[in-house]
Amino acid sequence: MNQEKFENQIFNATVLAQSLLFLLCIWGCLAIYNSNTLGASPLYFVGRQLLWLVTGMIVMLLAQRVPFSFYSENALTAAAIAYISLLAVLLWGTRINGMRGWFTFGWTSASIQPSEFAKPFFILLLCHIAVNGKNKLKTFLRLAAATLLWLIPILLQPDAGTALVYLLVFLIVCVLIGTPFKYLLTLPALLTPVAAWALYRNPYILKRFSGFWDPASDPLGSGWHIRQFQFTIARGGWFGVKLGKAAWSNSYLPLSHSDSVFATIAESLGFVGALPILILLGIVFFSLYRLSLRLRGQYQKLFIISMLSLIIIQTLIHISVNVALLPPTGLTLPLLSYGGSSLLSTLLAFGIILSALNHHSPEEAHSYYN
Amino acid sequence: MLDDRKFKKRADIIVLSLASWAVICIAMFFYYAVIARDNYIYLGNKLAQRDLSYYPERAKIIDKNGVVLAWSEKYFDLYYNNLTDSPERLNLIYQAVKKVIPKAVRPSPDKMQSMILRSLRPPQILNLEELIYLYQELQITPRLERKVVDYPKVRVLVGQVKFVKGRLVGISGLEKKYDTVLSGAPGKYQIMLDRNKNWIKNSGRSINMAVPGKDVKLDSSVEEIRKGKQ
Repeated sequence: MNQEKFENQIFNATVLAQSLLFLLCIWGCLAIYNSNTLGASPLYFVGRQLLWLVTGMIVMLLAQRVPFSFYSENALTAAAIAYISLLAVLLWGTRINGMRGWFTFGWTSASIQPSEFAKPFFILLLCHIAVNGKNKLKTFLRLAAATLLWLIPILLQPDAGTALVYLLVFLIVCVLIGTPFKYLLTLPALLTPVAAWALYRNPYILKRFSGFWDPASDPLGSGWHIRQFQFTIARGGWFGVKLGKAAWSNSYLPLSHSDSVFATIAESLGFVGALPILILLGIVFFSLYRLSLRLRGQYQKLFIISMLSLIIIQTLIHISVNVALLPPTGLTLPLLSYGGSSLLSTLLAFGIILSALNHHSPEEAHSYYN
Repeated sequence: MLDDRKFKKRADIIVLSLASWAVICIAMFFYYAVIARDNYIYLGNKLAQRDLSYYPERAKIIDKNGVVLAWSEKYFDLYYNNLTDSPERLNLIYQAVKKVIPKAVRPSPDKMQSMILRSLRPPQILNLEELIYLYQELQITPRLERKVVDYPKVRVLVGQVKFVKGRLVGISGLEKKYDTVLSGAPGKYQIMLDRNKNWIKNSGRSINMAVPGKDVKLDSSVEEIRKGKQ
């Protein structure tokens, strides 16, 4: 009886998640349209995003039907392919906004960002290492080595924002599997040389920090982006300006349809219209999180919570940047920002999460240390 | 094997941390959108808003029979502003304009501003709309011309005007005598400029409407003026 009730809850949570994700994506399309209404082709970006949305929903539904054992058994192969694509983009990728992070296909003018697609496979890899580890120290070192290897090509692009997300998810996996605190304390020592090297190679990171710290000191240079976030959100107020009238997002806010999409929504729909994004994502997170804790399979449980955390962390970093709480990182808002790679990879990740939730059985429990 | 209780506890700590982060984000969002809103709107407006004065069309001078002796005509000229010093860009823009207006004159690469075509016709302005948006270098500028009926004595009586700060001002004859009446009062308009100092589409807001000047009706007819009987 309990099992049947649990199955019903999973079914309800799956339908709820699918519906809310679709709603959030539509919300994103509205924001993308709004950020370009005063441009020469207001429907260009939103038209493409709608195509990606249809493809993404199909990808999510297909990924959800594949048994989770397929993902867990092929985690290493998938991670290897994803890693090779991260290396390949450094050699043959296209540079957009100063970052060599895209493969472009000339005949379609479409581009793919491997670091977005690598996210679910990176977590599958971490979960694979974590559930197969017998010794705490060895597991921690393997996780740290895998993360470090993963970060190098991403920092070489350079994409510090995505690297930060990967790093935080690594920490979350470590915490979830009970890595002793003393091991985590060694991380600053491990990361300092990496951070110093990243800052040396990418001095723009320091500029962004200085602009964030005191935007008024260089309002037309490093402080420009932070200032525009403040002005754009202020214009939105409680209820926003009218749809299609977001003049500030259209004229001043850099990358208003991608890296600054939350501020665009805030200008158009105001505090009341933008807050539900966090609430809806929170509902999806909590409904899936609550059910994942009742699963017996350790791999599934670890994957679902880590993957959900990654999506929420990226969302919170994006919003933090948009409300001037963090310096600009160049991260998109999952599901809402313009970009096929971001949308497809997030919906693929949700497909795998729903697969982990729906294809569960007591026999799937893996060995795991406390 | 995993201890479910410990795992749940750790997961709860993570969820709590993320929730706290979300609350801080919402607080900051509320601060900018509601609490400090007026201050940031003021700062933003300082950056973007500009007040413009615009003048109504100068009124007409008419004789006692209602024959118009002096009137204003508005023309629109197309200019190229050399913003980049790039001959390739100049050529690209010139070719694009030439497709729409074959009579376009090639702009000079040495001048800051060159006229491409004088006195555009309404269909030409409509055809140029997309190019104006695409290329910041292109600019359509209105120009007012004062016309007077072509009789020497009438011309002397009516007098002359010249452009001062964007408006026509009478400097001799009746144009000078009735300058205030003919000019009317300027209107005020508020606009928003984008990062490149271009006018943001649909951002205009009228503060004061311009008051049109009043036509000056003379006591003599055009024939009397011609014969020197005024």
